[in-house]
Amino acid sequence: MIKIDNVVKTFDGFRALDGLTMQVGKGSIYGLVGPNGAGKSTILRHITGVYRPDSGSILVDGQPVYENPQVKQRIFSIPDELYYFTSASTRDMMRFYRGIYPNFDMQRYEALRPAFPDVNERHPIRRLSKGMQKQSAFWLALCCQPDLLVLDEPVDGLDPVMRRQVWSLLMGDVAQRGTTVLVSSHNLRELEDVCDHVGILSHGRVLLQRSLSDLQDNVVKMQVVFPEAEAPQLPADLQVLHTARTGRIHTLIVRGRADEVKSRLAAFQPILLEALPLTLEEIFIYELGGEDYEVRDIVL
Amino acid sequence: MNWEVRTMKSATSFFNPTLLKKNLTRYWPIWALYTLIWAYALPVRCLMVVSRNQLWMGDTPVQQVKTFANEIPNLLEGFGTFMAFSFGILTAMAMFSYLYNNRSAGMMHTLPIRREGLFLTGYVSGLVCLLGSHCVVWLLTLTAEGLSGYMDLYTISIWLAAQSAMCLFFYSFAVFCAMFTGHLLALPAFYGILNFLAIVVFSLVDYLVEPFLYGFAGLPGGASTVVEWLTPAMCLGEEVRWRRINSIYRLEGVAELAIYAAVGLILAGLALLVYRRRHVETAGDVVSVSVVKPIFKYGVALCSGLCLGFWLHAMFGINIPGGLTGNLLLWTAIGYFVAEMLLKKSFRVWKAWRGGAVLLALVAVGLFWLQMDGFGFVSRVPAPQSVVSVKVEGRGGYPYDEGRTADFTTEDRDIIAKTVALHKAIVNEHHNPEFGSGSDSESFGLNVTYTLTNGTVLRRNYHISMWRDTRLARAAEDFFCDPEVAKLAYDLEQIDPQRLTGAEVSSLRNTVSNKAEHITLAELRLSGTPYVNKQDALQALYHAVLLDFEQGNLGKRYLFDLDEERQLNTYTSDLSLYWDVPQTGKHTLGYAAEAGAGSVTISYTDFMEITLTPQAEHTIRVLTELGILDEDTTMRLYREIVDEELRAKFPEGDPNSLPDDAFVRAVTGSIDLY
Repeated sequence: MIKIDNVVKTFDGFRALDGLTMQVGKGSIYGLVGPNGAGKSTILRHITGVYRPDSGSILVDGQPVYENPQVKQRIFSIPDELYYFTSASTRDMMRFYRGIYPNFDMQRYEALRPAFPDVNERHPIRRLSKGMQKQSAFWLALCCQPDLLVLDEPVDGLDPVMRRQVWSLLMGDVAQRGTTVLVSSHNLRELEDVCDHVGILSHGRVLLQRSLSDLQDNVVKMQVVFPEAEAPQLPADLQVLHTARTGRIHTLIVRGRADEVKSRLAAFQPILLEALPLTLEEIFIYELGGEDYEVRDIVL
Repeated sequence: MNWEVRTMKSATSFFNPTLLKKNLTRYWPIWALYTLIWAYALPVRCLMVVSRNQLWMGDTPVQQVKTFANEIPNLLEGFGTFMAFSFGILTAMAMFSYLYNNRSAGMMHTLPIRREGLFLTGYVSGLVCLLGSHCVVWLLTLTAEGLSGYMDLYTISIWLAAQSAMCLFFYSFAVFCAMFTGHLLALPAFYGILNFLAIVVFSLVDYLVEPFLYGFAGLPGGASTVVEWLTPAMCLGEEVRWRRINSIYRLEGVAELAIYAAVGLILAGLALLVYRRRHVETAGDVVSVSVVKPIFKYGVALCSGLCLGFWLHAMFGINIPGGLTGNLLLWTAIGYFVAEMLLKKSFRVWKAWRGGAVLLALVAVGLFWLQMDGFGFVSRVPAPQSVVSVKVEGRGGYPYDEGRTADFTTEDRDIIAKTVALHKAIVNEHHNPEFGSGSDSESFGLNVTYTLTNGTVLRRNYHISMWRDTRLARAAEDFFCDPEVAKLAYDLEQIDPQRLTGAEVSSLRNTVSNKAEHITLAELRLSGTPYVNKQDALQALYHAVLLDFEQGNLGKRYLFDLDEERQLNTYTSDLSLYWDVPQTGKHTLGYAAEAGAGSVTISYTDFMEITLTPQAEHTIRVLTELGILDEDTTMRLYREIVDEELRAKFPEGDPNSLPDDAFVRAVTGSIDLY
């Protein structure tokens, strides 16, 4: 669905995107994660055709996005900072989007009303709370029936019930219409629940991108108790990303499949050897550790 | 819905009706206010004229409405320009306000509309606001006129077309400015500055160069025409006029309106090109187009130096040596860093000092070059043989009459040589000032334009003081007191004797009442005189003046007011002659309009003052025959007045033992010698 190739974008000498390359498959829910300033919002604005890249290409279904209304009418974006016309209500914005997006479905608008019971559609949006403004945005976005939905910190401000409601609606769209969802968020636990693919950005580049299952299968957390109190010298080709020790229990984050890693550690005849799956948050932290972005122990 | 259907070419690519509708509904207060103001100015006023029965506009309601309708295009003058100027920028600010905020810019550019579509829709929305208001007001005015019993489609349509043309230009110009900035408040600032930049810079350069280049006569006249065109508010405000000539109302300045409207469309096209290249992320930046940033930075620096440096010098630094140069450099530097702060949106801009240093160095070198007369401007005096003709605008010599102000163009070799000699003496005086003895000094002005044999033009302007018995004074006397120069200065040939309309003699002394009198020919009874009517008397007076000039009895010039010869040979009385000057053309100061067969002739009254002398025997004879002069009504010599002042100032002094400068003090300190 989305193919981004070697995109560079510079703001006043600062290279916000530095040869970014990534692909998003059709009908997938792709989570874009990365530290602050990694270039997540910048690449999203390129994908929605707001920014013009200095170089590189951004294709949606094989066509460039920038200045291409045929492609853009299939994309809807909910940015981290929402904008509505001054004094416009949800209903006003509905009328506006109805005239702009050819796929806008009025019946869907009516049908979705019960999903957002707290949003007064005749009330100016700027007077609504942040969470309600977000609900209004999702309501309108779903009515536009986009093939690609680009979300930047989408559920920020929504209560847990509404989060679940919104994700349920989105996943329904993905299942029924094959909508592709590209979502950027710092809430990795939530992304873990909904994303099937994840890309990690750092310094304007994609550090890695994989399906979530591949990502989780490729890194394993091992809890080991060796016969000796100190850990033995591990093989050099065993990619240990992180080690920690609590009493005699050693926790190792190792790159590789769980069964392979387990069999290699078994050679040390450990008293305890257990493989645990990593959360996305743990993968994020340990992968970025190699990018000089690890959690530092600061003593104050 | 299949893919083919969903990717059909959208009809909304270049123009989007939904966006147009949204713009019109969002910004309704602008067009509503605009319509309301014009509604009060036209249809409401029309109804009020009739309801109040304003008799000065006509006896009947129909006549009153007719008068009102005839005056409608008068609103184009000043008020119409102001409205177009003000609402042009307001409308542009509204229609393109989304460019100045990151959120709105992001949202608008995610919409499936090309930039051409966003621009054209925004541009057309603004035009619909303004021109739609005009159409509404046009219709309402016609309705109001119709209700009052008279409809004048012509005048209201003239207003509609002219006001629309002005709005088209100012709105397009504002849109053009809007494309270069990412800050909403910067837009009106840019718009205002660019509208008046040419006239301000032109005036400042004129003022600034003068102290550095002695004799600088201002930028060439052609430049002022360009400046006027580059200052649209001024040009339209002055050129668009609704004139009544021969009972027919005509709109002047139609060509200017058409040209500006066309320029407006061109600017709109250029604005679109800029918009296509503009980066959305520049929302919030003072300047949004990178190639314009250096122009902005150095432009602000130079304008700051010119405006603030010059103004503050004039306010506070007049007597400080190098004050002007120092002020110019200081405010250029301040302007440079302020511009840098605006561009970088930070106060920490000192790293950019290199650019500022280079700019200051260039400005300093430029000013030094000017001061040192690097172009040889100050010293340049043409050789008499290289001059084809000379245009002189001089002010000098006495008495105070028409001859004091010379304004002529001549190819006379002798006068050219004297002009060049005076010019040379002025330049020498500037390089080697010469001070005379005593307290007797005078000043004169000389604005000279040479047309040289190589086709170029050389202009200089001087206002200079001189002392008696100096080289400059002798050259000035050779020029100003030359009979041929005086003849050109008086220019009696400009009077058409057949069009003489009146005469007057001022400062006569009535010896009975001992009061001053002014007598005009119109006050006289011609019975008992040799003249049958006023025209006959005027002809005689004119020919007498002519004869006195030919014989040298009138028109003799003196360089110093206190010359004894001047005091003893000039009266305090002036003869004024009045005549009509017929004139046709666009810019006439018509006081009276005459109906001609198929042509329009407007005339204004001109007049000439000639100081009378005891030698003007022919003129005095006619004045005596007319009864203006008699035993009781006489003229007084200039010396008599000066003596009176002396006696009043030094009542007990012996005239022979008065201090050297008593005479000067008496005269210069006198209240009114006349």
